[in-house]
Amino acid sequence: MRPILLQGHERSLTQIKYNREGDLLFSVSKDHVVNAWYSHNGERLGTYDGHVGAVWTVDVNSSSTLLISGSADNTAKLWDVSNGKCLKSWEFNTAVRRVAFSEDSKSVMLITEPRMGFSATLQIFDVQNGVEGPIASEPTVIFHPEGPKITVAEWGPLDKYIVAGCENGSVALIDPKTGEFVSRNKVHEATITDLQMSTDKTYFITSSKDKSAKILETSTLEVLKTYVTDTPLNSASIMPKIQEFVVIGGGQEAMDVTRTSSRQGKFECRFWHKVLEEEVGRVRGHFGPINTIAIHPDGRSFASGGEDGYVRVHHFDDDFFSFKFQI
Amino acid sequence: LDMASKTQVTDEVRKRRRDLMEDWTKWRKDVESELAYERSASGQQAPVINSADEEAEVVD
Repeated sequence: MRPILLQGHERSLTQIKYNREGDLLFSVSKDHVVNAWYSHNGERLGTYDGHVGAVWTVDVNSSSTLLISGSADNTAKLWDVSNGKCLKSWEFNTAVRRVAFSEDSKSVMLITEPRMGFSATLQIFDVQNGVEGPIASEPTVIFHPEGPKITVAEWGPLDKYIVAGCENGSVALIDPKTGEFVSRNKVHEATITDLQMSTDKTYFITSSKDKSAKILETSTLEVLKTYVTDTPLNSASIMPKIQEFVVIGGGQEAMDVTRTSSRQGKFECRFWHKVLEEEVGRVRGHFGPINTIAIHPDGRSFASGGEDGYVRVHHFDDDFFSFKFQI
Repeated sequence: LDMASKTQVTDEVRKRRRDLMEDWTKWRKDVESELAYERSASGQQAPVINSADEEAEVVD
């Protein structure tokens, strides 16, 4: 499993995302840059220039025509994927921590940070005109979610709910029409660092600084599976097909690594059997914590983005596909 | 990815694994049929996941 190393960032990666077909991989970083790559060979397709702060989050719509990015420069930008043109720049009072297209790709959801007297907001914008028409400047809805800070969020199935993960380790379902919390469950002991949906969005995986990842049922927020590790986790992803695995990653912060004599922070992507909750294997390579993981929609490769500024794309060998658990 | 294959498992472990897989499969069937019902009621089609669906080899 020889990795392809994508060298297009000068600072740590914050999020990576495949498009629906999996032919493109988008990466964002603290270096203000948004990059697009061909996932099969790691060739850079282009760069989306415009942010003047760390870019925290990225998402692409289902037809791969629109890209959205959210940044510490207090803006979210909507891009034309094909030519890199910025179609819209929304400005907020604070940094944009999470962006996500709805399942029907007609809306985008943005989460802004609470800071300097400004409360956190959850805002939804209409983008159904796409690259053809004008994009609304004002959100269709704006909410001020109370309670613990939302760190990650995704749309649920049929866009019925927004699923949020919070700083205190709780997950919540939010009604996107009213902004009300439908239900909440404290499932982790520390900040939730990532939340990724299954293919049909009926379940999702969370990673946390509490050194565990969990699979939860979306409609009930019931914990179905738990994967316990020995290092704080920054990302977790569900393999959509071929193998019933999840991939999780993280690592000790640099300042903590110097205080320990153990294995250099444990910067590995760890594969666990999703159902059996047993670890299957590990993939090393990064020289710092793994910040973000994404699995190709066909399950034949995955990518990881690290604190070291690299994206590593791994295409699985044949023995990966023939591997069977002893059942 | 050979950590699991190197480990000899007892019949007890195998049974536990089988039970877990059966529970998961049953749960998935229930959830998928519920979602299909909700989709048909709402008229919203399930999103196509990727164009490589038909080519993908499935290994149990």
